[in-house]
Amino acid sequence: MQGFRWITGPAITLSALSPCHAATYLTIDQAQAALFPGETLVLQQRILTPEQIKAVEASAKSPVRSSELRVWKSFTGGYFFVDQVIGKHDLITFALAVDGDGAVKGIEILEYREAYGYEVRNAKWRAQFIGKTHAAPLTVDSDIKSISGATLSTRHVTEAVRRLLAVYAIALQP
Amino acid sequence: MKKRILSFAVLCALSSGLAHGATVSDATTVEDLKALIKAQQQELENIKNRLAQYESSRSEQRQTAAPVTADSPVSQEASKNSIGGYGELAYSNYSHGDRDQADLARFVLFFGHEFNDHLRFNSEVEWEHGVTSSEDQGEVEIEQAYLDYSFSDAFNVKSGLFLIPLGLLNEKHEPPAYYGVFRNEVETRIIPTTWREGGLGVHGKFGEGFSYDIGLTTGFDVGKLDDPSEGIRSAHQELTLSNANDLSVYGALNYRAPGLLVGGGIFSGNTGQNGASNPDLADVNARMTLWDVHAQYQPGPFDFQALYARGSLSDASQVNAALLAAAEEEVTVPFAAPKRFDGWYVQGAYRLALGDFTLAPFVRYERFDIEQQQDIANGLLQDPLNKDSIKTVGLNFYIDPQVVVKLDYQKFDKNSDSDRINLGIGYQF
Repeated sequence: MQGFRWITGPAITLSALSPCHAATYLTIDQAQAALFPGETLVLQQRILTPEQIKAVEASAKSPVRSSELRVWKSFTGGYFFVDQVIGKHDLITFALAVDGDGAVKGIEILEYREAYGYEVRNAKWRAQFIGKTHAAPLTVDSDIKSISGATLSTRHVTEAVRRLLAVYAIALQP
Repeated sequence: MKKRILSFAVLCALSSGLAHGATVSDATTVEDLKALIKAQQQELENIKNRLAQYESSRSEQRQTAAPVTADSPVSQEASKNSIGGYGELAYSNYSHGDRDQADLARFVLFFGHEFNDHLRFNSEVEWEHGVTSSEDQGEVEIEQAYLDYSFSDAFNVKSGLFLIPLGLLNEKHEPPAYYGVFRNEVETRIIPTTWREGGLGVHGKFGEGFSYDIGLTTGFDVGKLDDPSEGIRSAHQELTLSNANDLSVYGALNYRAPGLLVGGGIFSGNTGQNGASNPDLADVNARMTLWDVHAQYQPGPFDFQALYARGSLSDASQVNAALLAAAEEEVTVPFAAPKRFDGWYVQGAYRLALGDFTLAPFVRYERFDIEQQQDIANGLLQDPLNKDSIKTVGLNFYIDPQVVVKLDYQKFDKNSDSDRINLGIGYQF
């Protein structure tokens, strides 16, 4: 047991030197554990109907790229979404957690590839979404502050959250 | 511990056996089923991942012009090459005189390549004006060409030709990034945007919102100075057969939070270059130090910016003597070298959302002061127009976050010949 502990010590330190470019910061499991601690999440098989897609696009003023939803449900009625948006040239993969009342619990950036705009990972920036519901404007320069150097990534992630909350309100809300 | 490892190994063996196509029978236990469902969920997840990536990269390819490299499968992988660019056109109508002018101010392309998860290449090429030739003004320049290796978020190393991290504009100078048709005077004359040097830099982020960038690079050669109205700018070498007897160091620290940026930087190095371009500068240090502090505050739709920059050139009288000797030999007009130069501005804008468009009226007040080393006996005098203040009022109209139409009016306090209305368009992608 002593030997086992000695090996994991430096291994954990080395993993702190994770790569900056094209990095995976959190796996889906880790994000689920961070956003829904102690809860079990069940993968949902959901596909949006064409009517739902139209309604989401009208509500969020943002295009829906895929009819497939990557969403998990918790036993407390919350939802965990995984989605991807473009930063400037590369994709950002993020997770959005919504509680049983449809309010955002948190956002985690899972993968970030670009050299610039990484400020979207800033915890204070992501914390702005906590408590927001489908009713909020969720627009940069309005209720969501931008962060210098990440104009496009902040805009695209904000738009994606707006779209996912519209999906919740139109397709998932009980 | 041993028991747990053993039962875990058994479970793995069982689950892998079931996951790979084994059938469910009456002998199948609940544990087996749990393992089978878990494995199938994982496979479903993997398939969904790949479907999402495929759909995203398909719509990404529809949107961007980025080419797919020859050795990557068309539909699955995002391209390792990136192409970007920006450009601006400007029209100026002068209040006094017949100098009205229209110009394709610049046309820029960015090329980047990702070698692997740690190593990437970034570059920027600029064409100034519509035609660049030996008979026309303007240049084609490589503004950036550097490799960047990432060890971690906190520790990255870059080497090559890169932008010096001072000011608000120098590193982020695309047209949609600033208000007004032309870049402000302080960040043109005092901080010589677009300022780049060749060398080595270490950069990264730490804490929650802090970023740093420090390095060793080429510097200026004061023997090449030919226009004191732009401070030290004309002494830049742009990594073109740069004299490197004297190198420079720089450091920058910035803090970012939602709606807030505060930071500053400093650059310092000798510019005498051991007399490489002007023998009278041998044994003259002519140390040039330039520093700035800046802030940007964006509460809701407001966007406020402020910046102060200050520079100094030591041994200015010896620089004068050297430049005077060269002017006499080349039969050009001599001038007094800048010895202290500073400038500041404050700017406020209001971003009004109009559907998909944004209208942003703004006002800016700026001052610059380039103090020259006078040598009255030799006719080297302070040019009074090298100290001025400018009021700019106008609007940026974004038809897309990356495309902007601009209109502004600029009033110079002293140099009223420069008073003008400007109209411009700019884009970036």
